[in-house]
Amino acid sequence: MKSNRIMPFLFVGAVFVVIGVLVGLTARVFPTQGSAEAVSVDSLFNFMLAIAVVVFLIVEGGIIYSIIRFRRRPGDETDGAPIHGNTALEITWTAIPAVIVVVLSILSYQVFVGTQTATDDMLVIKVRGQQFQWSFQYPMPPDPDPAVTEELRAKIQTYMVNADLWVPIGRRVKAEITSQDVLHAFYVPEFRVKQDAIPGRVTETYFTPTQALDAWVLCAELCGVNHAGMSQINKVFVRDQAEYDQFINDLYAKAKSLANDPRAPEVGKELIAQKYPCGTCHVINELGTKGNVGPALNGIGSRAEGHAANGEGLFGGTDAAAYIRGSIVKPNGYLVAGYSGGLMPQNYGDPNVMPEDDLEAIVNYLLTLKDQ
Amino acid sequence: MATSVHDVPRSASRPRGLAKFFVWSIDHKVIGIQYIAVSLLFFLVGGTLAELIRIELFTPTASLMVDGGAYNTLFTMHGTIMIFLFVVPILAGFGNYLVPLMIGARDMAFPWLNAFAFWMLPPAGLLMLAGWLVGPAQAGWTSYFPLSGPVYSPFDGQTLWAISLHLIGASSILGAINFIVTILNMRTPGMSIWQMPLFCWATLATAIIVLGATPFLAGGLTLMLFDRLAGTSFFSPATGGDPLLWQNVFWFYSHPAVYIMVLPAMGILSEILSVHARKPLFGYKFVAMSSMAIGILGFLVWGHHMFTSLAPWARIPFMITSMAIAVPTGVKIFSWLGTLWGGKIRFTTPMLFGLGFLSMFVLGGITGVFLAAVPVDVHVHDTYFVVAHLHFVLFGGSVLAIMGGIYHWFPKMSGRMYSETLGKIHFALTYVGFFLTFFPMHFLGLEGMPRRIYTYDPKFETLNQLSTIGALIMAVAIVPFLINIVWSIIAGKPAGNNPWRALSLEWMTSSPPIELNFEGTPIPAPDPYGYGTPEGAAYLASEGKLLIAPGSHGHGETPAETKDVSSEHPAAGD
Amino acid sequence: MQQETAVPAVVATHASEAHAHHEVVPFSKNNSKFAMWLFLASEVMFFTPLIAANVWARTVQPEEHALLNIPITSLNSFILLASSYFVARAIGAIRNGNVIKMQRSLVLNLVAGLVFFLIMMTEYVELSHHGITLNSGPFGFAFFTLTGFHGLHVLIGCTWLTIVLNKAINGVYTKDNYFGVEFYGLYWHFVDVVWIFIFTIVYLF
Repeated sequence: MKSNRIMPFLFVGAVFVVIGVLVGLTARVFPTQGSAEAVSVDSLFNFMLAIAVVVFLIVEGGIIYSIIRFRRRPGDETDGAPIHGNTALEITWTAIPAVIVVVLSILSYQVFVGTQTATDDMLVIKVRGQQFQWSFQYPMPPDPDPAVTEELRAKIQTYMVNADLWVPIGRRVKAEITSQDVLHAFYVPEFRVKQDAIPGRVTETYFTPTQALDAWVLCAELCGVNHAGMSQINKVFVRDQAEYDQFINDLYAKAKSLANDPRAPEVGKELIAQKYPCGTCHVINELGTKGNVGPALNGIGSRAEGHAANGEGLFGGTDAAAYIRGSIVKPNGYLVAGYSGGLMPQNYGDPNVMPEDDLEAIVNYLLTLKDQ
Repeated sequence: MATSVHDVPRSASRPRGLAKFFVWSIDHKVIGIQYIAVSLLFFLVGGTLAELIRIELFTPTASLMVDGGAYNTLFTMHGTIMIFLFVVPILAGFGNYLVPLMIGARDMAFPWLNAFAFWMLPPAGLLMLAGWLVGPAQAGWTSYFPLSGPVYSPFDGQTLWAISLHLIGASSILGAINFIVTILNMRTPGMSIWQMPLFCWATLATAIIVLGATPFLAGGLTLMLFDRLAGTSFFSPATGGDPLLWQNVFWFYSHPAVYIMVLPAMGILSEILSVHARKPLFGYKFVAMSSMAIGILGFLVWGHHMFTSLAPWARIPFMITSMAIAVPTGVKIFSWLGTLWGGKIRFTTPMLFGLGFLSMFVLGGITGVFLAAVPVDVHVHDTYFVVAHLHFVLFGGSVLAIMGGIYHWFPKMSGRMYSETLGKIHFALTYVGFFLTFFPMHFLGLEGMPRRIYTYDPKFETLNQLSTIGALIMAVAIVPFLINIVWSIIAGKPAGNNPWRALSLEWMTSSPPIELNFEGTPIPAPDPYGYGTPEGAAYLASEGKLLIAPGSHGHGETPAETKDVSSEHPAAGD
Repeated sequence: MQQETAVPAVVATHASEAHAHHEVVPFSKNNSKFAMWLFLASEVMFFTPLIAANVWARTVQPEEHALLNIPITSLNSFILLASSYFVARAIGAIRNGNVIKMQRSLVLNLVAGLVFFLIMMTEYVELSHHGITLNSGPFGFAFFTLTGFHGLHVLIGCTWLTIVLNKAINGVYTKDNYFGVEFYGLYWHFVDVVWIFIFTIVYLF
């Protein structure tokens, strides 16, 4: 090909490269960069985007050019040039993409390793996925009070749970993620992290928040009827260290008081608000929950007494508490009219999922919900 | 399986006309059209479900759906039907109709088996739809455990889903065996493997993938059915199983399944581009071999669907293999561009769909590389970015090629021409509607909108509304398509044997082809893509009756001399 | 491969019917055998996840492996290997025109197949006495699913063999026409080979 014929193509190619670079430098298609990882992931993405734009323009440009330049003119019944191939060209367009993907693999590997590194002073937060809500368990602050025994500390730890994810700015966080029922995926777009929650396993992910922000913790893996609702229930609060410490101290003080009387109705109320996902399927006006999957629990205490009086749905027990308890641990054992079985998790009788104290506390709380 | 046909008597009173398509037939052309027609019916069902999905997503709050379960059913059935009851079987239908014609055979190697494989499909489809009567599957087309297990999916529809896929899988395996034997053993004398049209290469590669991957799904589905019905728990952790085992088994099949859905479509595209640009396919051997490369690499990449559940160290090898697939895919795209370059492009409806494929599929290929990069995938995994990517590959790729293929071979199948005007309206609406539906989804995903949700953060509303408008345009686009097909079958102009003046063998017989496909033994062109060559022109002028002297353009061995040989290959039946 | 299919033979069954000559594809041994090989290849892929499930179950429940009766199963494997030998012997015999020897070999093949199946059943009973059933845990369900599907293949093989044997006794097979035996033999050898893998991976390791 003569140089005066190839020059225009080289010029257009150069323009494509310039456009690609400009797009790569300026594109902002992601949500707020809330973590150190977000910065490296976004840079990788934009680098790939620059290459992608050039490839895209070459192909689409080639198509459009061919459509215009090589369209059949009216009356032309001849065929195109009988060119069957060009080995040099074919090897070139095999080799160049091969080089590009090798480069991208190496860069991606480096970025990925960076997102996976652990440090000694990480804040470890235990994340639990449940149908259809996350809960987050925080490490306890030191407590000089001699009355707090090891045993009591272990008990308090079980109450160090909140429905929102609080993290301090600038500290590396390790999330230890598990699920108590089906698969979920812990996803905070602002941190660019996602990790499946797998029942029976603990998986990990890492991030380092860099700025104060409010966001949502989403669930990215289909988890059942109210999967959509699970992305609009748990918030993320990134705050400076002082505010985070304040949150932890308040949580600790509350946990300590709950541990005094683990089966009190107030404990049950707190557990439903922070730890267990009852509200994502059942309406409880007192807690402001809106779940529409199962029957509303307003006035459940009164209805349970009615069941006790009629002797139905008592799961072998005799009182209102037996009705509520049975309905939690064997949800298919007695169905409220209009609701089908199989929707509620059937493992709340498992003490690893819901310890006996928690179950009692929740039953006691629900018994207090009387008809207005 | 390998039942011979010699002892299956043909009914003496076989129905004629349209009626023959509603009964058992062992004619590959009838079976091919049966596949295509049944698949198109399921396309309408799956498309209706998609429209319901998009209408629900027009607003951030629940509008159509009573609850999330109904929505989960919608996308579960949409995905399953589109993949297993539309794209896979319709491409098998094209293969059935075209492969024996293209290689100059009288039928498939095992006609009875071929019919048997087809007739497994309607019951499978009915079983799938019957889910609605007993509580439909709602665990997604991936049916991840434990959600699809007996505890969290007590509906019998999930069991029917597995049985239905089992049937479809068995049907594809039987079909694949038939394709491989037919393509390797039944080519007409004089056709070397390097003279086969690329659609045959693509079908061969696909059949090999089906044979390697689909039994794996059958094994996995068997374990799933045991879990659901017999009380085992391979996949449920509460009783000792492992949900990741299902993911591995499922994706070991389902990633190759992507190539089952896209390779034959690429084969169709190769035919369309070369014929309507009147130019030889650029780099025939590279394109043929890239199908094989994609087929083999496709078995090594399944882990990229599990980048958020696999152990971190295990993600790296899958990233490398997944990226590598971009190379043979790129070879194909550039070769198609090379085919257009210097051609005499005719903007017929099939060509428009072909150009649509080329321009949209490239975007699906590019986003595939983003998804292969682990750190990027971790962010966009299970978001609308993935939904956008897979629809650019499967709709922008497979479905546009299928539509193009229907128009391209419509004259051959029906003997009549379709209406170009209606065809072009169909294309324009589909193309615009498609782009408007799926392009905004990239940004939704990058912003962090998870897939499979029916209520969403209001900040995503505008892009979702654009997407829904696009989907409605696509729904409208179906109308001219259906009118065109029905009207043209009844009143289209006679097409003649070879309206596109194409060189491959299916055009060297009547339209629709006679019962034994060819009068006598067909003689293949020395090069099925020899447009612009004197040999090609001579072959066309002789309507496939000439053997051409050795030329420099054939891809393989060519017959030795120019003479009228049709008399030397007498067909025994005549 | 092509010479057989290239012979343009049309089996006209109803010459009076205008289109009755649509017996398109002449019967081809090569094609049928090739198809059987392809089918068996797909069977390999079916057994792979089942065998993989056993490997996984071993990591979850390592101690259950001790309950397997390896001496008896070794004997059983030998019986199945012998059955494969009898098929080969039957094909060799008919190739030389020895119909009686073929018939005897096929009978021995059938007996070996059925004995294998019965011994497998006794092992199932023995395991169930140890509390290992389809529902007892990963080891149980992985083991029974795999060996159960293999046993099903043995039973299908025995049924097919009964048909072949019936034809053999009725003198259908001759020196020049013994494709039915060969075709069945391919399948039976496959069942045997799969068992060798199962025995090696599930029992010996």
